[in-house]
Amino acid sequence: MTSAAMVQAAKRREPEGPDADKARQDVARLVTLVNDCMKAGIPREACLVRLSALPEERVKPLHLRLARSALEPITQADRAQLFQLPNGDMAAIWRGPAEAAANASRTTIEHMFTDDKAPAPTARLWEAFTLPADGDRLLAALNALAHPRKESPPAEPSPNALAQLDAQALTAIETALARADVSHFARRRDICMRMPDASFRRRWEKRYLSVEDITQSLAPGHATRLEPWLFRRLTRTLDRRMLALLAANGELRDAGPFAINLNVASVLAPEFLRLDESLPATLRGHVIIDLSPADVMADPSAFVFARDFAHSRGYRLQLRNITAELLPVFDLHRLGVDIMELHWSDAVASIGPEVILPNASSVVLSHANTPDAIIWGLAHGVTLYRGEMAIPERSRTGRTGQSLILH
Amino acid sequence: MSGASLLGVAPLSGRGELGATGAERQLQEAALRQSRNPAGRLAIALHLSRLVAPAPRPHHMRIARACLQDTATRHDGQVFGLANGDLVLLCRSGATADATIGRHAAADPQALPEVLNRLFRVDTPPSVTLVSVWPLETRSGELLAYAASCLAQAPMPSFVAPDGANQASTMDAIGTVITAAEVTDILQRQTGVLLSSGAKRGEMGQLRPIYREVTFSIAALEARIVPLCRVNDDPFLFRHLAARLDQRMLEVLSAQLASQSPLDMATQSAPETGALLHVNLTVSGILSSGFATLAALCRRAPQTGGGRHAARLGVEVNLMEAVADPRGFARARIAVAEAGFTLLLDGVSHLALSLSKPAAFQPDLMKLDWSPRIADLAPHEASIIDHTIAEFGPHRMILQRAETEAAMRWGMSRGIRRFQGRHVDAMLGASRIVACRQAEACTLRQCIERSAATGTAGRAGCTNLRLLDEASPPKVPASAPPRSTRADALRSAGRAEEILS
Repeated sequence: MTSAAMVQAAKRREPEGPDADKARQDVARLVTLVNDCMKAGIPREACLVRLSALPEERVKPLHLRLARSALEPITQADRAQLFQLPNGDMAAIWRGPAEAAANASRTTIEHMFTDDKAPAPTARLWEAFTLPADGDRLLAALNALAHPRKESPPAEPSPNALAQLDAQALTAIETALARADVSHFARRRDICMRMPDASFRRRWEKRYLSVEDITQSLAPGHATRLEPWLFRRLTRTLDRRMLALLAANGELRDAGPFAINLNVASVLAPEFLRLDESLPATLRGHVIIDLSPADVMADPSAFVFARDFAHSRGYRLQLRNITAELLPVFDLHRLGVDIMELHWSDAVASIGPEVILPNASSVVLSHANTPDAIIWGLAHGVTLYRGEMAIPERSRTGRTGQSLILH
Repeated sequence: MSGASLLGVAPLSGRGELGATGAERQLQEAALRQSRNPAGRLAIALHLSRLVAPAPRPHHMRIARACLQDTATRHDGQVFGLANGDLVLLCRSGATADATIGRHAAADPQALPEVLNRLFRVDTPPSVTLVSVWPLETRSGELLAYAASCLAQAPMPSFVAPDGANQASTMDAIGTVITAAEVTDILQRQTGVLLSSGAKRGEMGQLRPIYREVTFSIAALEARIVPLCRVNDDPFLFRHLAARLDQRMLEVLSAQLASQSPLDMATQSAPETGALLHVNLTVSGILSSGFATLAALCRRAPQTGGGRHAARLGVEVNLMEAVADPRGFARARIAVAEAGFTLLLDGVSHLALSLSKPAAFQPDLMKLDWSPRIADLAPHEASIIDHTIAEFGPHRMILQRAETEAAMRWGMSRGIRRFQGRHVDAMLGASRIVACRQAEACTLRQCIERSAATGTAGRAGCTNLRLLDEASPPKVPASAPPRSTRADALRSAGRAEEILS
């Protein structure tokens, strides 16, 4: 089986909906646990059962249930925990020697999934780890779970095949957007705080319009992001529509704390004043205005005016999309904003733990889609995350427990 | 706030906001009426007309109206939008019970003046009183006098919001012009100088031209089309246009480097002056094949130019470009360095300098935009600017838009020695007039304008083109010309600052 086929097989097995959330939470919990063991030198035993390495026809739901039951002996060990990973793999971690139980589980698994007629899986089906010594190897394996997506073939047409946006096309999209019902394009994302028990709790949600869906619907065949300055200009129209949507009757009646992307000019536009007028009293002080660095620098005078106006009305300001290169350029206090959204990337990952992240408690680590993002964040004092690794645990009462208090 | 006021529609009566027409008369009537029973009444005047251009901008008017209207709604008040841009609120002076948090607290008439002063502090000159507060019990006379004086003022032209379709059409039209026009007719030049210290502290020494910046003249471009809006109304559309200008600029530079054109003159500098040709490019332009071609041509210039020194360029990149694509900027910085050129960070205002740390982009030089506001900043803001300049190195800073001697003195007092702007143009022009034997019929303004032009039409009238085009005009110390000669030159042309203002 080729690696691409393995990736596809693994992707087909990825659970969706609540199961997917549960699996991502499991990864985050496991990563935190391994990290804690490594930091504190706590001895633990662990195993990774790589069901994703098997051919598709060898892993049916029935097999997965059988695999889970095969791991039963090991779950009887001291402090044992079982984790279901997003790609179908399973992991267990326990304290102390439990050789007999581990051997029993391993034998059953291998017996169940090894077929003499089929080629052997490219990765070992059962992999054992002794913590803290093997911590890095286990973390690397967990990180790899999050990366196969990069290897999958693009589902959408390549940007090169799409027409580049020009000024006339931009005008056409803006005109169409002014008439379109944009409520279909409204999306939400959670920004979560990592709790001491390694779970994530929603602090606020980001409300935005899906540019990809809007482009596909209103300007099919155009790649809006290929012309970055025209795209930024388009975001002003998106702002106006988003603001109008939020100010519509009843839209914010039961809303919790939320953030919206806005341009500086939009904060000073009539549409924003309308939203401000209709904002429920319970939400005042719980709305974050998310600004882009280029927009701030495009008109610093207007930014300072908008910042002071927004603060006087109880809004909080966030500077989004801060990359590793922009980190030394912007300082929260100097800029007078409240939160900074740091975009996780390889360049950010290369910032070592010896570098102190200023105002870490006011930093949101975005695109935290891999365990190493969370590990990096924890090492630098970051508590707020957005991404696949930061899925809030739903409380019994549903979407509760939201608060914008950061400190 | 009512929906009507948001849309700028004046309600006919009641507590709503009044339109500009007749507002002065209505203010006077209301002031007279309320001053007869002034107990607990207050007038707050927001003097937007006292702000320095480009303020008050449309968003200033909009937000100020919203703030005043909020107070009017909660405190039995009325807002008057006057023709000169000022806004006046007449309301009850006491705080309401809900004046505890956020926007209610900001709407308190007692707190409102501070809120307004804070909002507008960036655009308010220090000597200006932006907000007047007149309790009617004690100061109704001042309100009445103010209302009477406003009645006598001429109305301000109303602002027409730029239209998106018009902006896009204008950009497209300009894009067509730059590819079709004779390029020297739409380019302009400006010289940057190094100013040595004078013998005494604060005294200006000798001017030495160190570079000549070549840019597309937006005024010349707009003159060739029927602009439906100002080109730089929208910074994003303007950056988009800049990318198209780049391609044309790179073509032009590559084509003209081997010729004896006005553009090329700047690159064939004498070694002792080391003058450069400065061009503005975008990050994508620097990373394009056009830039690589230009870099290769510049490296070959000594062979093709008959013994001239290698052409050297200064590449200016706008701060917005660097912030929008920091990774691309880092690659562009390497490309510029590999080509042997100098990288400058352009478009750095004093506000940008106090809000961010542009030096972290590691340019070779940084161009700080002069504004009269810089000299009047609050102490903590001024110290941020001073500290940033000292940390980056004043010898690596260029003060551009240096329109007055005050600008140059401000820069010199901080160790800055590189300047560009209309005051520098005037000083260089005066030097040329002093040195030129054919200058009898020329004024200083004509000499400056001809020097800025790169096309034949723009330079018509000058009979000493060699002197006009020289990157290094004759060395004339700023204070060196014999008093009589320099005075004659300036007398014939009028004082530099006066004619340029």
